Amino acid sequence: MQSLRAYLNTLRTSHPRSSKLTLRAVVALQTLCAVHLFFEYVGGPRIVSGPSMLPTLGPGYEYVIEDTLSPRLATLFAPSPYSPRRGQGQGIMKSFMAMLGVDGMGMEGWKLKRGDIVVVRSPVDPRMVICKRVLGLEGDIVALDPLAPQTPRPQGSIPESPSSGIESIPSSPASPILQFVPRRFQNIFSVTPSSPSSPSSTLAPMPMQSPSPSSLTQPTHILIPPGHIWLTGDNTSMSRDSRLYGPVSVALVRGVVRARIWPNPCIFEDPMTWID
Amino acid sequence: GIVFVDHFYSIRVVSGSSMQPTLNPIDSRWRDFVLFDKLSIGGYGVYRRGDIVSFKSPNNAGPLLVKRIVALEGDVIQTMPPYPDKEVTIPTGHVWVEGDDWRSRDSNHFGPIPLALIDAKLSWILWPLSRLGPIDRVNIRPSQTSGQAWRPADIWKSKSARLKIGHLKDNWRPNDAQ
Repeated sequence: MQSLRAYLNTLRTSHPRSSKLTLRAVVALQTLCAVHLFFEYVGGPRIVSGPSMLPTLGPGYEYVIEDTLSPRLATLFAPSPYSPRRGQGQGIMKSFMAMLGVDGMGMEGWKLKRGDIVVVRSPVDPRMVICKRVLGLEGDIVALDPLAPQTPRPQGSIPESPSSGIESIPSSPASPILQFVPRRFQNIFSVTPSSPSSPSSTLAPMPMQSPSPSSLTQPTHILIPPGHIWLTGDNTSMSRDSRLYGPVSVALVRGVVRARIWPNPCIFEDPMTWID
Repeated sequence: GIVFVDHFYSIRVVSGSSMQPTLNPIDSRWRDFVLFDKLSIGGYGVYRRGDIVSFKSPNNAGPLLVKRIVALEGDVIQTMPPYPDKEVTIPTGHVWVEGDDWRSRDSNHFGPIPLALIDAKLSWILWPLSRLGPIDRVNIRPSQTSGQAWRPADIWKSKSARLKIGHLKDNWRPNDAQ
């Protein structure tokens, strides 16, 4: 930094006219880069729009504050696959902190929680960025209600089911993404599938309840694999979310929406409550 | 500086044996230094079958994985164990990646990955100097017939044999209609 300033000073004194332009251009470029990096790595304002998050986020353009530091911290402190105690999935930092005895003392604010509004890169279109709420974390079981109003699907992107006339996602093979995208990893969670004869194989089939025409009114349960989250829009009848494309990898999360700047400034609180 | 490395090009070290013999062959004393090209990815980049890409692992937020794209969206590929289904139609916005080595952890373990996870394309090997040069893009073309015998020594023919049905467009972009 010092040498850069000295260099710019010599530029300014040696050639008065052209160096000023160069100086300003360099400073402008540096400022742009710094601002861009700050927005990328720490967080900043973002514009969101669309009807899928009503009534939380309105259909028109809204300015929110996006926090991109939390997902990066989560990546840093995530359980490493190369740690010696592989089965327990202990991260290096986590075991260090547990050793010190500061196990989760108020440092959990940056972790992804159920109920966070996240900005995610779309798994079906790499150019699109979507904004939804986290409903389930890895290991959770999500129940899909087949009688809930379904979102109209985009034209021509996912083939319609030839067999069932009712367009309900879990009980028909209409959504090829939902069928096999969840089959991603060894199922290390001990959840017994519906058929008692199947062994606890490393790749337990999902969804757990096999869809059939007679079970159209039964909810389908989906186990979220490790490293994935379930997204849902607040406005479920107009939201294309995980009901369409299945659990989304946590690596796709870009940031967490913490507050809204305009039109109604507010901080987004956690709306989730436990039901017993 | 950081912006350049993040968004344009960066040189990184590749470790692991899942891409042998293309990267890190057994007889090499060093790990490969490769140029990662981030300009060619994103929604406006061109993805081809046979490109080596680096992507974030879908299962755990750990290091980047380096594998080769074998099938694009809409293709039907015959999978290898431990994948539970025999054939998979790649959904919209996803690709099937496999390592060159038969022991690699790739899409046969975690299924097709979304394109948004892809971080960079590997374009040039920079070290060791004996293998300096662009990474050859192996042309994986789909075969209409299934049931070709798979010989472990010939990985490219075997990969083409398992790519059962695919569209033959070579310069494919993510926003192309089916």
